Amino acid sequence: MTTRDRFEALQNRWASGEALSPEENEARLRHAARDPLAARELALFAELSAELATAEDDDSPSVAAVLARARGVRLRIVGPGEAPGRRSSRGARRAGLAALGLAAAAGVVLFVRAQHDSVTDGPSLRARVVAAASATTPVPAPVARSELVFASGDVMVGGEPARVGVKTLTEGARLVTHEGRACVTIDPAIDVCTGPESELVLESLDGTRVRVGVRRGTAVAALAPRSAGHSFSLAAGKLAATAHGTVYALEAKAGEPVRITVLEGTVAVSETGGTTELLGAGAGLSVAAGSARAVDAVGRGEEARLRAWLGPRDLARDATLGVLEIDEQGALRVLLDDQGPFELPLRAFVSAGRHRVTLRSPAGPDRILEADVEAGGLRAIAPPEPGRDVTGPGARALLEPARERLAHGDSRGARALYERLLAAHPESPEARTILVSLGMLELESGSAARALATFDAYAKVGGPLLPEALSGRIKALRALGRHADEARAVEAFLARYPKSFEAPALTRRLESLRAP
Amino acid sequence: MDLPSPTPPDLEPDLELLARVSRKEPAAERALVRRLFSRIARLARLLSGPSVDPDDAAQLALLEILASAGNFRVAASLEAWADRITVRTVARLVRRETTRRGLLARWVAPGELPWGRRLESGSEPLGLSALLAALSPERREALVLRHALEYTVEEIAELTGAPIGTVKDRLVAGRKELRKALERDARRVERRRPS
Repeated sequence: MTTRDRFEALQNRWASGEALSPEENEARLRHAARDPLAARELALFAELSAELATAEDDDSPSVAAVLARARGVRLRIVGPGEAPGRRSSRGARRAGLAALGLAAAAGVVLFVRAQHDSVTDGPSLRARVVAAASATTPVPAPVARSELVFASGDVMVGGEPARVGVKTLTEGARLVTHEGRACVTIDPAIDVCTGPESELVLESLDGTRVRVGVRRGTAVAALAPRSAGHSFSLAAGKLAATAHGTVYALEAKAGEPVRITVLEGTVAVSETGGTTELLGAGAGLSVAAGSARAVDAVGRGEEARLRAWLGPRDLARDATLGVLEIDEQGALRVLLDDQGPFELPLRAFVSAGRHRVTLRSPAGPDRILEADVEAGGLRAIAPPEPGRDVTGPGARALLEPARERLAHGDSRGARALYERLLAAHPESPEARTILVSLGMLELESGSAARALATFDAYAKVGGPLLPEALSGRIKALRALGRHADEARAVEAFLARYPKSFEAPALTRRLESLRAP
Repeated sequence: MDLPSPTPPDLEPDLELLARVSRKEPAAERALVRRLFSRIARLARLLSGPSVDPDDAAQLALLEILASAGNFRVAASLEAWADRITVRTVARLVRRETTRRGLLARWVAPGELPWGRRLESGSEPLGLSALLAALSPERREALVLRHALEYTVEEIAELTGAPIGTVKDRLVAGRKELRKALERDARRVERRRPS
């Protein structure tokens, strides 16, 4: 037996979990010292053993994404927020492997030592991991989660068009509205909405002291009572309006006094180096530099205007939320259920379920659509331009990125684009082609009823993907527990495609469905 | 099957943390995710292969861990418990993705299915994850469980539901497959090395 054969035999025994004697280990390592590939293999297993040996806390944006998803919100981290060390450490590891290839002997020495430790009295890797796990981890200081939950019209966050459900806002984030409006939710239970021509900065997201600066325009806040030691403030320059549970607004318009309006609860208005005044419900205070402060009563018109900015909060009252996106289209505005009208584009968290979308054109009647939004899902709508034939070019432009997303495993993104294509180009050939793919994605995401409707839509007109559509239909019926319908669908399928590769499995399924 | 488990370390702080997570306390959830994220992300990367996005797999595993906090049973450590959930979650994802892609490939031209991570990287040797990605899912899973998580063959059998003999076969076949991948990679690097 050559040393190579012996190495192979020993390595197979070791790989399958068998303990080797010290002599057998030595023989294995001696061969590796002469064979670079064997050395690399041992180094690779050593790397695999060490891969999970370190314990380290992580605070990347990916952590925030997981926590957001745990609350039913799907976030996709963009930019720098990649999994820790994903690319950089991979590159470093490759470089390390290259070095190992050049210095195989060194790797072997390290491996010998590691093996020797594990065979003799050194602590095992598992023991080290357990020891690391038993160390207590300090609970980090609370940071208030802050997120854009509604954006209508021209809204910018950090200099870019606003998106909802993409990433949370960090301290210092700047929200600017022009012809538009927006709402931010800050945990726990703080909603801040703006009117048009406003600029807000998240000055502090310290969980005990949340502060939003109003650079210009209007901010209306509604918050549940704070627990002891926790505060929330709207601030403009040196002026801060601090509340412990109330509905109130701060307006800072150019050339006008800063105005604080309290609609519910009590607000403490303070100025750096100055006195603090308490305002009760229905009271307003205008503060201009160098002039006396005068408290006045809030008029009904003013109250109605400010409360209206908080209206979008009602779109996302439930615990289960999804994201609704409606693209800009000419002069169209939109009413969502009973809220609005809102400028487009609109990006909003909404309660999961069916919503009525009313497209309102300055000329012409309203068009009403129904949009199903799934919990944690994204529903994108591209409203057709009024009076314009919506078929033709454009469908292909949506199809390509959808396929690309699918290719990269982004099923939800692909599905959103497919749905957008269907809404914008329902009569196009592409719309029919994607029905089967869309049905599969719906089935995969657990939306069996929608998947069934999608497969039915394809089967109704037929086409080259009919076997797949009928097969998908069977799966959807099974997922829905409609066993009698499933059995009929299987029978029809087998009659039509008796030699299909799925036929044996479907035959067995039919037998089990028929069994008493 | 009842498995002999190592003596548990003092798990009181972890049990307290998990109890708070099960009560959905945000600070506790954050502490747990911060503690586990790096490990779970690395484990998911080893297990996920070419068809599943490892970041997505890690996120789903962590969601499963958060949701299961109230069902924690004594294990060697919190990490060991989280590892098992991760292994199951990734295995489920891999199976589902393999099935889905097999079906989609039936009606979409191969040229339109550019999925799969690009394994080759210039003239550098492939990294650990890329080499593991070349293995079949079952063999990859067995190797990771045995050599990264140091599970015994019996533990792997219990976790994966495969007979012990099958687990041993997978480990040996996985190792041979890995060796072949190393040989292919070495030839590729040699070809691309500047003369």
